[in-house]
Amino acid sequence: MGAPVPRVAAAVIALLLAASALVAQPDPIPSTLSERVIDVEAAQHAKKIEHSFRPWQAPLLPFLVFGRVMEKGFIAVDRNHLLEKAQYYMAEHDRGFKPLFGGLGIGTGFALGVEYYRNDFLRRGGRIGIPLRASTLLYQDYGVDLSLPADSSQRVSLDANAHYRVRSQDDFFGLGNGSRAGDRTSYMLQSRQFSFGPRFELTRRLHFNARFGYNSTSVFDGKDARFPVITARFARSQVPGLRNGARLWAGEVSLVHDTRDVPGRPRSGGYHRLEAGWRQSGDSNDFGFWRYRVEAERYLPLGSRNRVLALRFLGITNQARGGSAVPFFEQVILGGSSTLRGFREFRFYDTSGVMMSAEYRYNLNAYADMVLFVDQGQVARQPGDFSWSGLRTGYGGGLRFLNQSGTPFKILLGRSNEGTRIYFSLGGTF
Amino acid sequence: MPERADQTSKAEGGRQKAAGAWPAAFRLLLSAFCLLLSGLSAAAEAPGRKAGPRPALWVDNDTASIPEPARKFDTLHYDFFYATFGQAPRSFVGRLGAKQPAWNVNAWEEMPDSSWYTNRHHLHPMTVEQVARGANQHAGPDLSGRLTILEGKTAGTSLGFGRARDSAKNVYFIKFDSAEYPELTTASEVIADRFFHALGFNAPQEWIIYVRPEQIEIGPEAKIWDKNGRQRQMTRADVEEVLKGSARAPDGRYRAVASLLLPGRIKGSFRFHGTRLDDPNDLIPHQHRRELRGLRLLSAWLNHYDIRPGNTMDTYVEQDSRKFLRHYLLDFGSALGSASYFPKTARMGFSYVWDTREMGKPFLTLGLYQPRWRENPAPVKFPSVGRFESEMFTPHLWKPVLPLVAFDYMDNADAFWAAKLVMSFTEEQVRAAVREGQLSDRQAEEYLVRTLLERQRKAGWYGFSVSAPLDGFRLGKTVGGGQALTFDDLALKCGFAGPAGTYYVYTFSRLGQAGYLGRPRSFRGHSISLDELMKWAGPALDPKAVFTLAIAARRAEPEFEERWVKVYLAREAGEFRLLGWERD
Repeated sequence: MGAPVPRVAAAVIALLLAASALVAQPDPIPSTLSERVIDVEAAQHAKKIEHSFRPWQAPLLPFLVFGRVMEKGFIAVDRNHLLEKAQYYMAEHDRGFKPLFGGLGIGTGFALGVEYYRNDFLRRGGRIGIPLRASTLLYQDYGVDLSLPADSSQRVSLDANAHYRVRSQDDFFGLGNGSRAGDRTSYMLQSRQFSFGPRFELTRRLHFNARFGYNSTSVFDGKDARFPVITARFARSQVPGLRNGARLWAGEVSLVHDTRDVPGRPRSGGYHRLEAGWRQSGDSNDFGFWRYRVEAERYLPLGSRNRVLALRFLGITNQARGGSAVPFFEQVILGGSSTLRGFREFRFYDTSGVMMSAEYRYNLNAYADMVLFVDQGQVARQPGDFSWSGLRTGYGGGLRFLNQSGTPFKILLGRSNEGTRIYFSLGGTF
Repeated sequence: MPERADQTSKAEGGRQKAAGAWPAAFRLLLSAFCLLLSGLSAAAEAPGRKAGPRPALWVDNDTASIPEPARKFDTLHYDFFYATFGQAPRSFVGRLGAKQPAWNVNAWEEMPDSSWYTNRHHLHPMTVEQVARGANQHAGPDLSGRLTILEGKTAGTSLGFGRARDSAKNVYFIKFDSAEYPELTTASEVIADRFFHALGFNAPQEWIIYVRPEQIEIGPEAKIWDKNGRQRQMTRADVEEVLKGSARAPDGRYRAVASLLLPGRIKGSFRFHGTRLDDPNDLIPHQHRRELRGLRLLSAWLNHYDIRPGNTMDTYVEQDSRKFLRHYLLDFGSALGSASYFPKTARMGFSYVWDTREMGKPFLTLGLYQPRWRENPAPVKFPSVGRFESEMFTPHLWKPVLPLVAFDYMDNADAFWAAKLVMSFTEEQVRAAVREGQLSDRQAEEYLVRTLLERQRKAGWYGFSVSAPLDGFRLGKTVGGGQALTFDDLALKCGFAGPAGTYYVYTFSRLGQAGYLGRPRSFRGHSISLDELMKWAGPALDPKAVFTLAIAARRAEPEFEERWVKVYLAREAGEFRLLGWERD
């Protein structure tokens, strides 16, 4: 009995030779060929080589097979108009189902779903959607979204939604700016939420929103087996909301001023949002706080629309009322692909937070922007506790893939004092 | 002048030295690398042509009867991925090896007629009327009655119908202009069609037509793939949908281009590299076909951005009881300033869809470098012309939608051949072709003509500057009755260089032997006395040998480098016979 390696090698070589013989079919040569501008025999020989597989091409075999599969696949897709079919099923019509991809956030696994929708629901411009999403890490989101215009010009509308969500393994590192990356734990949230409120389009660029709702959230140990569960490292008494979750009545108003040229891939203009909110326990828990949020984005062309400096500021504070507390999952959370790049998702929790980004974007072609960025941010109990020395810094760069109206996909590499992270994310302006 | 001649020989020697400067081991390693990666090594491809004159053929017999090949299907999406990520690196690696001149070139640096190409205007000057008529062999669709749709449009982005039959039972493809850009698509299609036919390619017969909506009827078998990817019976609503987005003339008729169905059976498109396995006539790898290499410069002139396999077609035709494949160029709706139903974007003609090199420059300079066409794109001056300009146009930097291997293989001799074709059109002929576009705005027409002429000069200058622009060598008689070799200097003829600062140098040698017979000499004028040459070369002339007369032009214009053309002469019965010539 020979050693297995030579046997396998012999089998592979035999297979390659057999494949070579199968592929290298001789060309039928017409008998009527008369004078050609080339040496016919030499050209026929060259053609045979071109269309045959030779053993020395073995390293290329995977590429050749891949190429052939791609060719057949693309032809099948085009001949059967599968892209048009997919586009049809993904686009909205009067009513129907459409597939959902992602939408549950970074680090939630591969999410798929379906949404039943109906446009012009109840009245012209109205819409109802029933999205159902689940990911490979068992994150789930099921709900109903309703939007009804109040007037024919659709400048005033009433929005309402109700959702049941499960976040199976979000991370928690402790409260405060000084939490340690090594204290990573995992928790699960299960929430039932509904809200409703009017939306006013004051001008084309100025919007006012108001919301009122109720949110019931339960907290459990996380499902990420790689890390300890939250209760194994943090006492229930130390982390507000960890013991029983929270049942909160919520209300908020916001004013949005949007002057971006193309909101999905802005090259000039800005986005500004002011928000004030209120939360109050709906059960025996003592949770009650005001929330204030300021958000500003500016896009400054640098001598050309192909070079843009994008700036962002985000400030949030939750002010507890009368000795109440703020549940940890309602606090400011920084870290990850959309807030403080270079750090893990959900890296920092506290009642207040501030974050700034500067991003230099330059155009590579119609479909891609290159990005260099610096993010700084910190969390604290009170805005007065913010300090320059407390700012956490991340920096990096990457590619933003563009289409006509937005940024469907980004690949970013972020670095901080806690390491280097790669982010693949869908959508978003930052 | 002898000093300059000496310098020439030194320069020649220097070039040879430089060519051999790479160590043999490195060249061997490089060849092995090419062999492995390309699968089409230079050694495997080369047909083993010996140095010396090429075959003196004006017809390449690639129209022998062959069994009917299978129909091939292709897709834009596969073309994109294959050309961008598969073929472009392979082409790059392939070109690292020995440079190969085009294979299908005859003794006179021209191409024989074949199933791919027919020598037309540049060798057999066409009249203005012939240029304007193009491939058309009759007056066009008979619209005295109904236009019956046989099939909805299934491919491409433009507005139209797949196939439609006129009253004379001829079948056409019908394509309209978009409502936003009237005349853009149809004019580009027809004008480019006229040029490509005159340039020698197989192009379809095309006419601009005007149809009334009520003339259009739907055939009982007409099917359509709708925008949702479903095939169904075509309805009047589909016709209305097409017409709704199409440009309408003030008299209520719709302007369209009617392209006559190609003769023979459709067998799919051809690629710009390799050969077609089921076509035994197809022995020349397409990247080594001069007409496909030179098509790069021709397409650049006409801004035929959408040149790609999907816009070509092989048809199985019967001619003189022989059945073979004929190869066509199609779908010129994205030529000139058009990108089908809208004007070209700033990128088109300057960058591939995915162009690593174009992306690399801004990437490496952190965006400080941005190409001029992106920073200051040419404006769309006339909606019916689209984005078409000559100022930023740089022939050798022009790019089609996808990288094409044959285009990458274009060498200086191919560029010269293409430039010759481009420069063969007079202003009157250009005007005649443009008039076929039937633009209603005279200013737009004039702009198009002017831009084409400016681009023509740029393309011509490029082709004539990268290769010796000496051509049309022929034997004649001197005043004294002796033999003379006469030639044309196309750079002078086209006004790219001045006669005052131009003179020529030549060397004379026996084919296959190193060293010159006598010293290199210089002269003015376009004729060399061969009798004098014999005397000057001395008794070394073998009565039956083949000789090489290498000629180069030296000019006052510094842009024109010294480039050589080798003329092969045979000595027979006391007289020279011209065997052909070849460009370095």
